Amino acid sequence: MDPKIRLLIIDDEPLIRRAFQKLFSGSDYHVVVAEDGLQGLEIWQKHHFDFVFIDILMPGLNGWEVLESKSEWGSTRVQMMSAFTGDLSDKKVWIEKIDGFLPKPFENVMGIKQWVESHKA
Amino acid sequence: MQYWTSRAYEKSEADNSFKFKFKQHAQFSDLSQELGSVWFIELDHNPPVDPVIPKLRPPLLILLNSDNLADYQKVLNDWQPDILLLANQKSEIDGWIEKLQIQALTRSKKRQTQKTQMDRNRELELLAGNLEKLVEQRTQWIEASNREQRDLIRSDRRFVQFLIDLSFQNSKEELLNSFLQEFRKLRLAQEIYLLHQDSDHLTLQHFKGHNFQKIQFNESWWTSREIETLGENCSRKLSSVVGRPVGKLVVFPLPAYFENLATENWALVIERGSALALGEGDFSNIKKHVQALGLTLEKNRLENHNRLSALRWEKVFDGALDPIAIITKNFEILRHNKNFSKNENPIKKCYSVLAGRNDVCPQCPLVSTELESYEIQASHRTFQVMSHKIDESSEFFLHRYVDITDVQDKRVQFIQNEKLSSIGQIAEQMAHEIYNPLAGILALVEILLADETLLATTKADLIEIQKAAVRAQKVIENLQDFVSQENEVTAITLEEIIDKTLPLLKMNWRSYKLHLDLHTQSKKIHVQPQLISQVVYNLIQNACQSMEKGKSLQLKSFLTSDSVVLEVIDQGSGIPEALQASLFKPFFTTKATGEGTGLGLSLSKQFVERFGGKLTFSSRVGQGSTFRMEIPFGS
Ligand SMILES: [Mg+2]
Repeated sequence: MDPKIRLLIIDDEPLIRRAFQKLFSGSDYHVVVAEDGLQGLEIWQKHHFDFVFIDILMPGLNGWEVLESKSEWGSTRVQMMSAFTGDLSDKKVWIEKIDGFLPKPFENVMGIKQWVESHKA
Repeated sequence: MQYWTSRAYEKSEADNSFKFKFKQHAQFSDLSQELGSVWFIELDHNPPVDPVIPKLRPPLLILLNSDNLADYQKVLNDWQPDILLLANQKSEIDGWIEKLQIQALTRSKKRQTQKTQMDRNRELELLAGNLEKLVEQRTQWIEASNREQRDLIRSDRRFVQFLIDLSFQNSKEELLNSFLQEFRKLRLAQEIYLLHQDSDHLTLQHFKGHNFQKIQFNESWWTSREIETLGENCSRKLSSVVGRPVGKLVVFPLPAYFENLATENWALVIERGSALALGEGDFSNIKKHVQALGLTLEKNRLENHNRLSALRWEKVFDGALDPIAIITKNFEILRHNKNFSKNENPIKKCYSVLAGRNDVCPQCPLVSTELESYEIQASHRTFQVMSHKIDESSEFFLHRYVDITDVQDKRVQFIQNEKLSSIGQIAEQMAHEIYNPLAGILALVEILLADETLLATTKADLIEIQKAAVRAQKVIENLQDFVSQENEVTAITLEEIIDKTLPLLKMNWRSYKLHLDLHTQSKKIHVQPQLISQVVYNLIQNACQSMEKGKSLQLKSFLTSDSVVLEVIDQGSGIPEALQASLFKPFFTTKATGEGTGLGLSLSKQFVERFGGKLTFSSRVGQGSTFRMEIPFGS
């Protein structure tokens, strides 16, 4: 087993991807980034991750569609991210399966790192 | 057979002497008649026993032509003659018989005279009696005929009264009940039924106690349109339904007076006691009544029909939301509905009642022609007049006034809503597009700032970046609020609203001096914040657009006893007096094409009024305008 914590960041916003890479830049973490939903899904299908952060509005597959295609992710912890705060009532099934929802802009970036630290296996 | 001989004297006319004469009689009554007051009977042989001499009789003298008395024993016993002469005494009696006879004759003569007199009297009496009888008969007959006449008149009167009574009865139930009562009184029927027949059913309608009952039969057992006595099977059928024995049924078809209205057959069915037969008079009486029933039913049907259509028309007329009036070509109101005017307005002119004018409305369809649309102004509203000519000679017109003020308002509202929702969508998309990089910037800055080895100057730069990003985020948030479709009434201070609105106007007021003088922090108003924010936005934008650069704009707020007041005071060009009246009208604008839609002030006024407020202004050309928004804060 890889002793490092493995994270996958799927977001079409380069600044967000860069912020996550910077946040988890230590030797304890292995961060993989994907620029859109499709790329993210391909990577996720091939590799195991401990944490996956998925943006919702992206070209190609959106965040929910990535979840639908993956459908099962075992012990992996998943957080959705979006600047969109509209109606989520038809996403209840997925919201129950995921571990959290991060509205953009993030209120507390350091808090994300703390959450990962406290939930690593 | 000759039983009797009588000897009688007859007076000879020639010598005035009496001649003795024999006569033979077949019967005693003949004999006794002949004998007159004295009965003289000469018996030649023994007569039969049968003739009985009546006890009451004139004196009886019997002469026996035989000497053997024993031969006559029986008859003598029976007859008991007053004088009995034997054959040998015959000569002796001639004399006094003659005497007797003369006496008898005289008496008889006298009696005869008396008798004649009596006869005549009797005859007279008889005649008189007959006459009397005749008179009595005549009298009786006349009386009878009088009575009949009277009865006839009474029956006619009764019928007429009945007809009059009928006219007060409107429902079929009342009508039928009247007929039933009348028929019972006249002993024409014990029960009556109204029979109704259409293509599928036969229905008998009648009273059971006080209830009107309908009995439906699936089969048709009445086919002809003639008066018809129904068979006993019909009575039996009915009997099984009404639960009592049913007498003889006679159907009288109701004449269809209004053929074009009659789609079904109606008839009156008379039920008689089984023993009673209908006389000729009864028949014609019933027919007379049936005719009346038919007429009354038709009349009621027509009346109901007319009343209903009149009522319906009245309802439609009055219920119409648009004012409607029928007017003459001289603008006189003939009829109008409630929305035209609540009062009755006889002989008044339409323009005075509806528009409160002294002269004809400028765009009245009766005076102006060939306009695309006829629009008149009445009590601050705009009506489009739909004019319909009622008659050929163009004397009367039906005018419908369609209030297009609301239509205009609605159009404005619609456009504004459309605008808002499209702005809303754009704002939503923009927010998303901006939030993503903002989120990245803020996240990165935060991460960078966490590095304790940073140079102080770099750290200061990063903090500035962070501040700018936060400001940008706020602007987007305000924009989202501003166009939000969720219009919940909230308790909020005017200051909060102005705080949220001003950042959106930065572009506008940057070139002007802005003075804020707000003193309404202590009172909250209950409004939909975005709407009032739009009003504030509009007022400030209008003010800025009317001013040259460098002039100052003042926002002043204060409390009155019941309201929060905001005054937006500019140093602009002011509003010419001629335009002031139209300022709040939809689509009115003084701005160049493309700069304004003209919706701003009219909608702003509506928004403020929605919360019980007022939007007013005062303006002087060359000096500027002050717009004043007042919103009550309530208790
Ligand atoms: Mg995105």
